[in-house]
Amino acid sequence: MSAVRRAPALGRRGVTAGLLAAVAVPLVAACDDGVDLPRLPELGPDPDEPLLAAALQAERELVATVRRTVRRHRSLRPLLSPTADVHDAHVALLAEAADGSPPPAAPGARVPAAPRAALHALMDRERTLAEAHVQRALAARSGPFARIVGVLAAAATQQSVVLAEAANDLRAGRR
Amino acid sequence: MRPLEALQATLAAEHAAVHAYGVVGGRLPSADNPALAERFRSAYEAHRGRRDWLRSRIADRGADPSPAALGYSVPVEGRDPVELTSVARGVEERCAAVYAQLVASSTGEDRRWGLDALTSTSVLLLSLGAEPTAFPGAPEL
Repeated sequence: MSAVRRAPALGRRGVTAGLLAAVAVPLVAACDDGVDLPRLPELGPDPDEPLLAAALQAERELVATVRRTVRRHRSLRPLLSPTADVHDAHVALLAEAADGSPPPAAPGARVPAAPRAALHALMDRERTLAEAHVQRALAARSGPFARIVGVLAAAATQQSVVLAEAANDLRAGRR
Repeated sequence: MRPLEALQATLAAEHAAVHAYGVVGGRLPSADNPALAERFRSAYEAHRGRRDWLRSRIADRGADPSPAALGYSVPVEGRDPVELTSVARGVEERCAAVYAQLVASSTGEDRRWGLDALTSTSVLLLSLGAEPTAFPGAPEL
């Protein structure tokens, strides 16, 4: 019952193209044809690139942790498949914006032995991820990028709520 | 969108949300649906609080806060809790998109406010029976 909506490729490309382009200033090369053009200031790297890289790495680590949790607790697979889908969608969006940078290792966190404890651990990681995305949104220079990481924070918060309810259901024997 | 325009657009969405919750809350047979009635009441209060915050924020900038419209079209006919909840979900989905736009169009305290509102609304959507999504507030994704 995954509710993850798959984005039309065109729409997604448009969004990701705008994520960092929104803050990028076009680089104009100095003209050497004898005409004196006003010189642009030296341009540095996009200030939001580190935020994008950190958001992407955090999402990849969350995906890795979800996969490790499913491997250790097969009974949680139906519950966690939608969670994995959500974060896979986040990784796809951010990776496209990051221009295909190779993924660094994302080993994922240690998984507790008890299923309920594993759900709690995942819930905590979702909350931590959401708060980190909020901080990135606040620090972002680009409004479109702030919007996207704000949306990712909201999605991670939704997942933390779903996982909390599932952990309570496990305790009550409803799962 | 300029920051003030985004604040005004968000205020307009709050006016509409307050009106819509007045309608769905008034139609719901609350004695038979106490939990849902409490959710509607809580959401109504939340939107009123946001509306008032936005009014004062806009006034602080020396602008006139947009007034509520004379009327709103709320697509509900009867008193069916399922139908009323669906209307409430639609309200929250629209508000989530507006909050996300405010995040894009603002900085500092206004952006923080937009982020908080987006997160709160995304959680409220779950309590109204919505499925979690990958991009709450970004329907184009």
